[in-house]
Amino acid sequence: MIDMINIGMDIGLLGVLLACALLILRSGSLLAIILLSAAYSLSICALFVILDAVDVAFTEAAVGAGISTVLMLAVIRRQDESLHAPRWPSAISVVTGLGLGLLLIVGTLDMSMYGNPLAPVHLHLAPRFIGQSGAETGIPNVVTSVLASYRGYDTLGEVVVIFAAGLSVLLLLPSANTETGEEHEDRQRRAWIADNPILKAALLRVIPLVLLFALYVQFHGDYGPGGGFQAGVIFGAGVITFGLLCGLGKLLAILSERWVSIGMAAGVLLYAGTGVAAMWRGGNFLDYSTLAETPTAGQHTGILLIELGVGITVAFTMISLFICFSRGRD
Amino acid sequence: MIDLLGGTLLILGSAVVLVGGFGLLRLPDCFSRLHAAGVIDTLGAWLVLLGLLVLSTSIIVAFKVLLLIILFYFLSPVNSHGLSRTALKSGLRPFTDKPS
Repeated sequence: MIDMINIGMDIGLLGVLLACALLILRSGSLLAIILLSAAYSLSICALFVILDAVDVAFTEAAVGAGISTVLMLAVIRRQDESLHAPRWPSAISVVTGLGLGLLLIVGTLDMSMYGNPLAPVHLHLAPRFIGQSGAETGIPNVVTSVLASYRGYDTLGEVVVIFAAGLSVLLLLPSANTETGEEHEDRQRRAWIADNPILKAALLRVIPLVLLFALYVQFHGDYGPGGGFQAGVIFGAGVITFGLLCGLGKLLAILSERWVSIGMAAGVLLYAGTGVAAMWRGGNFLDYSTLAETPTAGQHTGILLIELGVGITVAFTMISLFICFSRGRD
Repeated sequence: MIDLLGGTLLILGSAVVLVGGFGLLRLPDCFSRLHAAGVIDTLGAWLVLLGLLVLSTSIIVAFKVLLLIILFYFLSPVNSHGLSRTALKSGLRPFTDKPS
């Protein structure tokens, strides 16, 4: 009975995913597409929870369903919301798409079957991480120790990618106020949210809780689901909510663009600097064992520091993206 | 006894959510649908969460559920308000049986 319910839920959620993807393909409105991708993220998040991947589900909920929806909405406020009516795809794109899909499926044939206990990952990696990561890093959450220590290079790469993305948006979008008078009027008409006393009264009281929760997620990532990426996004979301409620001017008065840019870079520097500090003390790059008296304490310190770096860069990149997308619009 | 209370709350909450779901599909315009969605967000969510609160086994879980109830208590009505105000401000008029 329970098995039946579980299978039913899996099929239902996968069906929702498929339906969202097809609707996105056929939709003619950018707004609808953005909301559909948020729905897609939420259902895949539920699937991750079913698979016991709570950390991934947390990230998906915060990033996929949460902040990227807000950022996308901020982008389409700058432009026309309608798309050209979707046409049926041409023969050449169908052939290319099907061919690529076939290649990908052929590629997966080399992978081990899902759940195969003899797969290399279950024979070598999983026993090591599950059995020894607690003793080696002093951190009970295996996801955090794998992400921050065993594959610290990949995570450094991810943080640099986020930093580079934020930097490219800063470089690409004009910084000066280039809107025409007509655009200005249009925006004035839409800038209703800032003078809504009810939203302001309720949400301004929630923002401190959101920021506090972000810090909890940041520093509790060693013991439970959470970590720098989720915390950064939640912190950024809190600040963005303030920007939406009180206007960009008030936000920039508290947190100038200069400090936002400095924050973006500071996180990456903290991460890479922790790696260099490990080298300085005689270890390898990003091998935190040398950072404190015992290797375990060193690992723990290093993981705390680099998670903080991740959080700072992610939070300030989100804030910077929001400022860029809504600049000249306040 | 506690199981019975929690189960009853869960079933009541599910029934409210179901009714709200029907309303969301059946009602004619944005504002009346928001009303149905508001029923799900408030009474439905509260009953389900109260049920979970009663059934929760550890004090930590109970505390988290209690926080959720408080947040839902304030934020769901604000959500509905924000959405309906946006709809009105962007030119959507409520559906009436009078010809406009």
